[in-house]
Amino acid sequence: MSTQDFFASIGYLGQKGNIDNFKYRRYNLRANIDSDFARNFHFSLGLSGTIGRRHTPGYASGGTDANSYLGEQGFLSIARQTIQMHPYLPEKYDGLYSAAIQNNTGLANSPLAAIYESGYKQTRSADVQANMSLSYSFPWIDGLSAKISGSYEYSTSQNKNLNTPYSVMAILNGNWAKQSDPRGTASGINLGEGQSNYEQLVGQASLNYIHSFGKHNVEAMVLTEVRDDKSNNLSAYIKNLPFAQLPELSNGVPIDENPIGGSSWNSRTAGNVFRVKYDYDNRYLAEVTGRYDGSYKFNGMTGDRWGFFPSASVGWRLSKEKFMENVDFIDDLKLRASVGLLGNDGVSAYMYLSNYSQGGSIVLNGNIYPSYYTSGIANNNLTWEKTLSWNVGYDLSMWNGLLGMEVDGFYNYTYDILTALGSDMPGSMGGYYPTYGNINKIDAKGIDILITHRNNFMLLGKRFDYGITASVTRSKTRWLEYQDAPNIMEWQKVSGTVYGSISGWNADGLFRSEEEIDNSAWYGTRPNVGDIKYKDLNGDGKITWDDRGIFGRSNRPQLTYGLNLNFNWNGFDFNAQFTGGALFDVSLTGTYYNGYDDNTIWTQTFKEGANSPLYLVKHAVSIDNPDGTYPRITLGATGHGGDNGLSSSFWWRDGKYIRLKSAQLGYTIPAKLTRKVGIEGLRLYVEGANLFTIDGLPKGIDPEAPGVNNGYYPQQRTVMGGITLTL
Amino acid sequence: MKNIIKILSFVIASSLLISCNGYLDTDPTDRVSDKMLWSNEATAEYAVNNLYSYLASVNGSQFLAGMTESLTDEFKYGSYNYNSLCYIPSEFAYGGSTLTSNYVDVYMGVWESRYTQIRRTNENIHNLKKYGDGLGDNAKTQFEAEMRFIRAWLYFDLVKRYKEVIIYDEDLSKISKDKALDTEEKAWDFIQSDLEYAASKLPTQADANGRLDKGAAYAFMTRAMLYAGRWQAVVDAANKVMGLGYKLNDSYADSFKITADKGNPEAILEYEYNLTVGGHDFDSYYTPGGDFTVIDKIGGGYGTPTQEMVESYELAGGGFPDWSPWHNTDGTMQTPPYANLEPRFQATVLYNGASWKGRKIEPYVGGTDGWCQWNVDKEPKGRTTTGYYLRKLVDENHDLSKQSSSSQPLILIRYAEVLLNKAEACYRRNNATDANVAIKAIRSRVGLPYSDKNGDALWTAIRQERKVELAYEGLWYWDLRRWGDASKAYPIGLNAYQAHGLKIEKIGSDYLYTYVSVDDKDRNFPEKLYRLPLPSSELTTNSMVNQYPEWQ
Repeated sequence: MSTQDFFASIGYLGQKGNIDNFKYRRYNLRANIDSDFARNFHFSLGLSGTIGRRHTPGYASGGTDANSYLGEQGFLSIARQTIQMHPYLPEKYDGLYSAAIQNNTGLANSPLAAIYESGYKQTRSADVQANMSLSYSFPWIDGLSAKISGSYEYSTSQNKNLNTPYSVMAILNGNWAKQSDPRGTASGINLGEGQSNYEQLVGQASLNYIHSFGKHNVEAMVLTEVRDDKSNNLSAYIKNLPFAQLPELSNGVPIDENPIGGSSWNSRTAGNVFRVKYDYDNRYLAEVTGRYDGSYKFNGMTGDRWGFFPSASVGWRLSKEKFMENVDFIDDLKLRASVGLLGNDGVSAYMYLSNYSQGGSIVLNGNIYPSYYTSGIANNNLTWEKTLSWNVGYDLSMWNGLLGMEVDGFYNYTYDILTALGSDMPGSMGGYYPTYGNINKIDAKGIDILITHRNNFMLLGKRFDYGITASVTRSKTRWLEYQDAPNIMEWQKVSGTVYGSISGWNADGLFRSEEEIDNSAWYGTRPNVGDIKYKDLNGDGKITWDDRGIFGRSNRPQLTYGLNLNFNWNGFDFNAQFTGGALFDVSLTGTYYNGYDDNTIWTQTFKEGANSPLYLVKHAVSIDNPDGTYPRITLGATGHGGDNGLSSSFWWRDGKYIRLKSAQLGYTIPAKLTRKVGIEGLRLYVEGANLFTIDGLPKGIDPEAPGVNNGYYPQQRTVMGGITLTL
Repeated sequence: MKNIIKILSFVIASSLLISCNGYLDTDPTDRVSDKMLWSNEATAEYAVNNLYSYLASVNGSQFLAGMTESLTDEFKYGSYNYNSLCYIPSEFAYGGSTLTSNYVDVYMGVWESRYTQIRRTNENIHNLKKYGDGLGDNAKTQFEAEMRFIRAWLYFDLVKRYKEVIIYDEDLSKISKDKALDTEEKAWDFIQSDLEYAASKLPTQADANGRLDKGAAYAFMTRAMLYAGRWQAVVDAANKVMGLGYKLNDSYADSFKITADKGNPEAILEYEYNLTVGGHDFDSYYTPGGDFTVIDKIGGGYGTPTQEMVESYELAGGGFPDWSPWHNTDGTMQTPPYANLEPRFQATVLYNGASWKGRKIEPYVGGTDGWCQWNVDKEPKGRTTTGYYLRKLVDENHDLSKQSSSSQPLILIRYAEVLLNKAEACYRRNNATDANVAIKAIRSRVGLPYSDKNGDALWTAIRQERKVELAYEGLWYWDLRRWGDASKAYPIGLNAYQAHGLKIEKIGSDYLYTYVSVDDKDRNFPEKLYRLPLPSSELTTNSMVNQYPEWQ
């Protein structure tokens, strides 16, 4: 007597970005079969496939994009070109889009040309996944079953990036002049095409046992898993295509440098897991689990490859105790505690071996020869990074759901963090120390509180159900150990500071008079009235790197909170979610990856010829406005960041915010009406995401963005409407 | 209870699963083990090849903001934007309080990058000795000699800038965090012994495949020992070079353009490029702006020769022209004596009316190349601020409409420099005779007359020939520094002067030449700049090292 279940679904998603020519389409298919084809056996098979098609213009939408040889320069993303553009120019002049010239690089920025004339990047991807499992229930031991399963995934993606150089018109020295594509026109119409595929094979075998002996409930499991990932990709680039309508590799000539590239990768992990759960009468609960994981990234010969990660937890449902029987207003009260160890192998592979990798080729007498150099200094004993987590908490539910609470206190200690060494090593060592080591330590502690309230009452004869859930998490993550250079100032050491804290100088307002400048320490060349004044911490009369330290708060919120409101009445359903964060700083200046501070459009007026926020200009110190609260206007930076573009407390702002993240209102037409036309259920809904934000930052900065930079593709506010139909 | 025990034992037994360690042994597809690489001659060569790129990288990182000639009276970068190859070289040349230790370290400091390259060289020599038993003796010696030459090349660059540095050899166990500086004497000894080893072991003529050879080692020795002040060593090495068959190329213009395998007897050490594996950008920066204008683009002319450089050249028959008519700030219609200047001028500088790529150079207001007023017109976009363009080292055969990358080779050492090094060393040892012979050879190549000199007159002649013969080869700035002349007043040194150019305007079929300054204040070279400051990253981590006193 076998039973079969069959499920199939197909779906389609089509979406456009809020910039033209950004499009994405996706088709997916899924089919599942579940079958009890023989006594005690159960078999399931799942197949799914996805096809994706993405199309974007030749430039990235925003942020930075480290891309191929012929790809765009990240700082020319469309978001950035838009900031750079001057709104008073006409859209077109002489048949070409207008542009504004960036006054430090001389490149012509034109967002419209970048969207419509720059070419395109197209990606076609296909993904197939199959998984199968077979389980067997042992007939002679009640509750014991075994299962093996395997899954195979294959995904491939092919992309074609076509760059079509264009011309724009910009005003230069008072006259309209033709400017060319900032990407350069030396290669003519150029094309890059690439193909990559990825394969993953996972195999799992497990043994499960579940049984109850009277009030004792036992569950046990052992499992082993192996995983193999392989990937391969290749790419080719050509230039001087005669026709943009015929974008094929055969039609152009290979670019000069590295026209062909390819690489492949293989990685493997294996793990063994066991778990035992026990509870007595659902009153006393205990669980023990252990993992034994191995990763290909670590040395197999020294035992560093494997790590054992156990964890245990206990719980006590007080509300089921005899002495709690008469306490009616408490529905459920459970105390719990747990401790566990987890591992992480997030590091480049093969760092435990001494290897040579291919470097640039050299030319001798006209012939080309390859070269090899050391890939990294080996660390034989590189091993798993570990996190030890402690958690204590309770769940409480009272008055039939009128009040519910979940409170957790946690402490996580992460040690043996896989760190790139070097910040405390002198340059004279030439990098001769292991490239990675298990060195740093971080801890995080905090408390998580969730309060729920649920109730109902009658409104116009129909029941009105509602719920409110409020949550708050306060946590603090600190560096316990960090390789600080030994001879730096105390306030520059990272050890002991909150993770992600912003470093910079302490500002002391603006210079208001020449006498004040004469009597103060300054940075670099003599400042002017209206420039930012910094504090000289070590009293040496100059503002130098020694006066800079980690004075800002972290750029990650240390307090996060949320509120969920929902109700259900007469066919209407509503759900809204607020999220927010506090106790963090946002810096309006930016710091590059190499440590250089720079102004952004939020701190320097007309930076690089771009637009400026009004507050910078309106409140700047000037002859007419000597009490201004912002630095004097400077058109060209006197230094790379200018004295006013350094990271300092002048530019750090409190990032606290609250945002209506999502809200949905739906209405289900009464069943008795819809059944008349053969429809089981019909629901209409309208939904919004990122509807509004309350924060103290200048308009245009998103507190949830990782940092301020010169052009981020903003988070979108979306409003959607839909229908769900059940037949 | 019995059941519980049964279950638990089942559980434990099942958890003794296969530890499949072997399954996780994967082989990387993009790297090879050091042992395997060094055990075979063909592959060991790849590791040595990687160090060859340091020959060019040392030249390329002389001064992050541009050519070091821009810090002397020879070259001027025209743009007033605050960037490298624009305003920053001028800011550096103005000296004064801008020259903080951090600022100087950013633009001229090479401590960290050089030490990383030294470490890689030492690491390779160490691996060669450890794993290279499978290589033939010839190959082993040759590789070691090549690598020690490169180590000397790297240390020379460090010592020339910092004087007192930390010396590391192939004993990698000596590398440690807290290490004191060694003396300058010891550093020169180290360089000298590496070069002597290289010179004795490298083959006489690299069998036509371009690898380092004896000539390169001896020639570089003349330069290194000259900087060290070890005059006898310079003379000995120079004589060895002279015995190897190098000669001056009959054409000065070809002496720095053509490689040895294409028949240039003067080239001793060069670095070649090939567009498939990476060219360089020299032409797109320094070619005349008009080359871009004629293909409807903008570029070139970032830096141009100055009027002071032009005035350093003699007439073709010897003797200097009188430039005073052209020092007229109101302008003069007389044509400057460009056509009469010696061949080295013709090969180095492009001037108004010179022939170039089938056209004539037009560095006047509104011309194809164009003229730009320095500081007032902030973005030259290919126009010259001095009235000239650089010809030497720019590739006249480069078709910019086809590609922007250049591939002409970089001549690192040529025979003319060896002769000049010998002349200077002989002068220092009061051997005027040999010095005169060398100078005469240099001047005769371009048809200039010479009569023997001694004493101060000889020194002036040596200075003159070095400036003009080796112009724009990255040596003049360092020469002025090592002679102790840089902090003196111009024209001996780099203090208290401004550079100039000629503003050329076309009036009818004639030209108006007006003398203009291309500086807005006097230049300054402080004494402390004779040595670069140690980077702060070394000071904060190495407890046995303190900043040099002049920079504290």
